Amino acid sequence: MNILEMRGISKSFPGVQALTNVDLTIRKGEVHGLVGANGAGKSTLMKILSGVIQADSGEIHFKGQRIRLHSPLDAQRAGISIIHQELSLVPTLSVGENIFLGRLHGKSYSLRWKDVYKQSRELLKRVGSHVDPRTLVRDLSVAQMQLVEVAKALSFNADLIIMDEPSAVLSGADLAHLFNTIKSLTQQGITIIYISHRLDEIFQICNRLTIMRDGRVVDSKDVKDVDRDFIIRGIVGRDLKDEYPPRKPKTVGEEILSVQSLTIRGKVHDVSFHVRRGEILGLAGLVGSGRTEIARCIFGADRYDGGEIRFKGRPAQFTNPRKAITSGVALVPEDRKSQGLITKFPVRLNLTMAALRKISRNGFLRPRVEREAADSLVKTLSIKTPSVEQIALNLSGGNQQKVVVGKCLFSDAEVIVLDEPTRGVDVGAKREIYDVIHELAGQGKSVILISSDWDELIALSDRLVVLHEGRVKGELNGSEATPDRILELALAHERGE
Amino acid sequence: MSSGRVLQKLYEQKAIVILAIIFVASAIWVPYFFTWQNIQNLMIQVSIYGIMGFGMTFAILAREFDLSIGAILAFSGVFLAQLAPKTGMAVAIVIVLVVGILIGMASGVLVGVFKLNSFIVTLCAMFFYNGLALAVSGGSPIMVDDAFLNWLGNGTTASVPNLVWTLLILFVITEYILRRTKFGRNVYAVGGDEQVAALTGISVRFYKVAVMTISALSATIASIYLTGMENSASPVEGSSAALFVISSVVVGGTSLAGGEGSAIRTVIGLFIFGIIDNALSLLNVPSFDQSLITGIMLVLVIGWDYYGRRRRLSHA
Repeated sequence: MNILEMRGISKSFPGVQALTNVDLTIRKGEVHGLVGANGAGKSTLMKILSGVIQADSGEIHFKGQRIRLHSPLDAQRAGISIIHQELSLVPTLSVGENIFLGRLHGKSYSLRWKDVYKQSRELLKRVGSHVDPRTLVRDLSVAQMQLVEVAKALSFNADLIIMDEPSAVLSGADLAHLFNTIKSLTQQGITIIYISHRLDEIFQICNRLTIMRDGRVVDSKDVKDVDRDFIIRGIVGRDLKDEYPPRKPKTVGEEILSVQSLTIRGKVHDVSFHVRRGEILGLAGLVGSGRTEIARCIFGADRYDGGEIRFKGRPAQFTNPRKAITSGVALVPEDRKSQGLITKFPVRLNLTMAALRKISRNGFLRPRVEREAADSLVKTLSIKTPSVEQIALNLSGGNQQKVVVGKCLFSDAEVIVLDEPTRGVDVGAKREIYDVIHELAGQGKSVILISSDWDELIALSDRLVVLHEGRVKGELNGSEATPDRILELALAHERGE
Repeated sequence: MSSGRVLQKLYEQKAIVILAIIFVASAIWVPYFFTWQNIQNLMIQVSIYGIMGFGMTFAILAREFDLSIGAILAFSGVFLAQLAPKTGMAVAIVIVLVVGILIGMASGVLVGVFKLNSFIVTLCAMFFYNGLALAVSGGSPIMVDDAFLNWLGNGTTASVPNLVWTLLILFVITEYILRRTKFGRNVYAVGGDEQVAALTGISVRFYKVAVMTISALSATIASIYLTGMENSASPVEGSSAALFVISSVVVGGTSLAGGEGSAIRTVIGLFIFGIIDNALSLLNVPSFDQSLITGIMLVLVIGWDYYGRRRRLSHA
């Protein structure tokens, strides 16, 4: 039985045809994957379905009836809830208050806290969360917040829940937990639309999937009838020869940076590793394994309590990022929008901001030199932008990421730490970022790569250091690594070694 | 640039359109408005606030705020007036300028190093320097009779008032620093996104101290001109200066969110205010009503601009 039918949905924004005659059919109780490149129209379609914006034409039939959605409230009343990537919880209120936000009092205009918390607890139980509903949301982890969002959706008696890229912020055990929750929800008769850039997940939890490209639906299929290549072809619109660039035999140079017995109280314990010129070193581990903390220490953004970082054979005194950058160490941070880019600034300003010294003389900027530098970076990294004056916000995720990498390149970095460089980036653009990473290593630069996508980590790294709960659990050669091997090493201790 | 793009640019830079409308309307309907004498008056009227406006532009671009400029204006004036008879005017001016820099650095360190909110810091500074101004002056205006100061405030060079020259020179310097120097670029970056700037190796601390210092210094410079203009210094001068200056900067289109704006926008904002004020005075509108009308016009100007921006963003 079909719970949802969207028929002939079209939507245009000034200058852009965002959706063209889109049909989407969702069966009751399924997990339906929705995939497509950034800008393919997934979000627009979901915004229409959740009442945030209205379609120019087309019909929505839900539970056998035609419905008209003029606001998010209409959608919630009808039984459609959406969980955005940027969670919409109020951090200073409790879990229970958040779940029943806006509906805290009944007819009596007085709060019935006991009821609120009792019902919250029941809802949380349904999603497999054991959080006390009296906890403040700001004290929760991102994974716990996700579940609160799901509980909130259930409190509206949602029949259909849309999840927008939950795996962008979750990984490992948290993601596994979410998948279990999704499975139990479908057993309760709830239907899920699951948006993701990670194809593994689609195969893992979805029953059917719909591929979108350029504002149209390319195909809807049962997941069991398709393979990876089929999906990628659908998303990219052509054969993407290989998802990853081929591993080339190469010679790595001498050791350039080493971390010795690095300790950050409560987070990282006695971690040592090194990276050589021209090498891509992967840091593998679950979220919370201390990867990001280590990266920030190398870059001088955070302090550490013990150990030493050596750069070019000497102790590195990186007490702040400026010293790291001028010495030749750069970081592409985890969250490019809030840490890597000033999104309201043009591409040009973002590209040159880490090394203004190269485009200035005695403190005075040289506009021509700057423009040429920016143009040439755009070319080398094949950043897709109408001009270097384009506002960074208007670029796609992949191209934004390339701008951040370009910023590091321009600062003449010799060691580049990339923290989750492909998060939220579509398949086609991912490959371009991989090529850039290879290119960097080819030029003799050292890359320290952090990623929650283990396939990607394995495919790119020459060597992998496996971390778990702040300790080094082992080292693997890129060619001999598999996700199982990593997990095995990571969890070796728990199994009693 | 095609005519379509010109129109588009104009639509985005509403402040200049509004300024043009107000100017033309005043020139047509307000008697005496469009005379050389009145235009000079207008420029003189806006120049004291204008000098502070450029300082404030730095602060707001770096996403900070300075409520204390009016109090610094008053304090520096009476301080100068008390000092000059003892040390001579030249030395007094130098001392006052140095003290202005120190005042700004004090606020700047609280904001930049101790990470206190600049709204609170400069609010406290406002009370403090207001009190200090009253203490230094004994609560009443002090006469200043100095030829040089009088020349600064009331004299002309090449038949243009010195105040207007000063405004012009400071405008050029500010715009040049903001557009063409590393310092200016980093001010934008710090205001645009503090976290990103820090991770890019820009010393956020240094730039926060610097912008607060520039803001306080600009108020001190303004106080020297004001004292010369009025041949006296009053401890209660400038009580509404901060709000007026901040509004001008913002009406001109420099964003309170930081990282977006310029000196030219500040000039536009100043003149929008200045012309409304000037025109209403020429029309003999009583001052209560003037304030009322100014309030309404401001809401319209800012509202229109804000609405346009939101629409632009939601389409992006």
